[in-house]
Amino acid sequence: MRKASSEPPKLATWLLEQFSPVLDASLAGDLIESFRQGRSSGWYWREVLWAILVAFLHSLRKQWGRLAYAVVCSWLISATWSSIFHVSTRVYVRSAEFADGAMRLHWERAVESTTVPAVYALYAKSYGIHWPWSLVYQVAFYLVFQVVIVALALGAYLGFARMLKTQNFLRALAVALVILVGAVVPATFLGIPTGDFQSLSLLRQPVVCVLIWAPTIMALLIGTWMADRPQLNASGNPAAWLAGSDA
Amino acid sequence: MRAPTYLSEFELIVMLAVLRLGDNAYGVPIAREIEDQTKREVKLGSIYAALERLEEKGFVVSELGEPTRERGGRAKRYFRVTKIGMRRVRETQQTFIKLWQGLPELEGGRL
Repeated sequence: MRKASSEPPKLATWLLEQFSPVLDASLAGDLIESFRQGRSSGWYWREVLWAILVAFLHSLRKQWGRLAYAVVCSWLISATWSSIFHVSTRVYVRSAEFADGAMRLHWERAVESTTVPAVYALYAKSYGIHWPWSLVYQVAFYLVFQVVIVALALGAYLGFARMLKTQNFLRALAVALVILVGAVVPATFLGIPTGDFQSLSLLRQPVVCVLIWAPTIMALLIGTWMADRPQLNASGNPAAWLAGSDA
Repeated sequence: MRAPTYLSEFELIVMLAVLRLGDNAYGVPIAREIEDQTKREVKLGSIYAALERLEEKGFVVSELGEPTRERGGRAKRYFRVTKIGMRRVRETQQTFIKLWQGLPELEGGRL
């Protein structure tokens, strides 16, 4: 069906311009031209999503350092969480076996044995809240914990790369936040544990590690990728940027 | 001595399409030319990725045209094969011809 006068999906074009390198503004033009020559919206969306994926993989191929940085930071986040909360799952499991008084005593001991008692004590408040708000509290706590460390990691990356500007940082953080919320919330409801690997079998540990690390790795990878992306000028025309580039 | 940079099958196809189109080699006609000649659908994102790799290798160069309204104000990016690129295409062709020769299975134009 020919629709010569219609506009391509605006959201797809916006996504393409946000997530693909600025040089590919020509690619956006080619897609719009093809769409106006009769291609469907489905075709347009498929092309846009494929172009974003290709651009992302292309940037990874050129910048292995970002992948290494994301993996190391994700491991640090996971290790920090484990060192603070390695006692929490055992406390949670035993909570069904003990009377209230004994349970409280056990929490106090857990607070003493954690590496950061103040943070653990804040988390342990969830045990005094009724379900489902206790779960909401725990998920929110875990998310805030991850977002804070991811924000620090993004800030450090931008600082080292001499790109630490408010706009770059907020753009990277916004993308990271969307990925973390989109991954952590469903993972919680699927029952994926967040820290205590010791209670898992040896076979399950690597699988859970990947599941836990994947959101932070992706958040950092895509966040730093977004921050690396040069800005289009107001008209969306890359010509001015190109004129000032090393071309 | 630096190892020669080889062309993948898709890179070679893209370079040949650019050569066939001459001065009109930008994304849309390149995709159409490849689809017409190979009878298979190609994604513009893949073509751009291949062209970017070829540009990094010095086999093609590109320049921007004027932004036009029918393209939503985006400029066309025209590609041209460089001398080094031409040499690489010829070398690849020669290599293929040498490999083709003496293969009775491939003679006579039948599969």
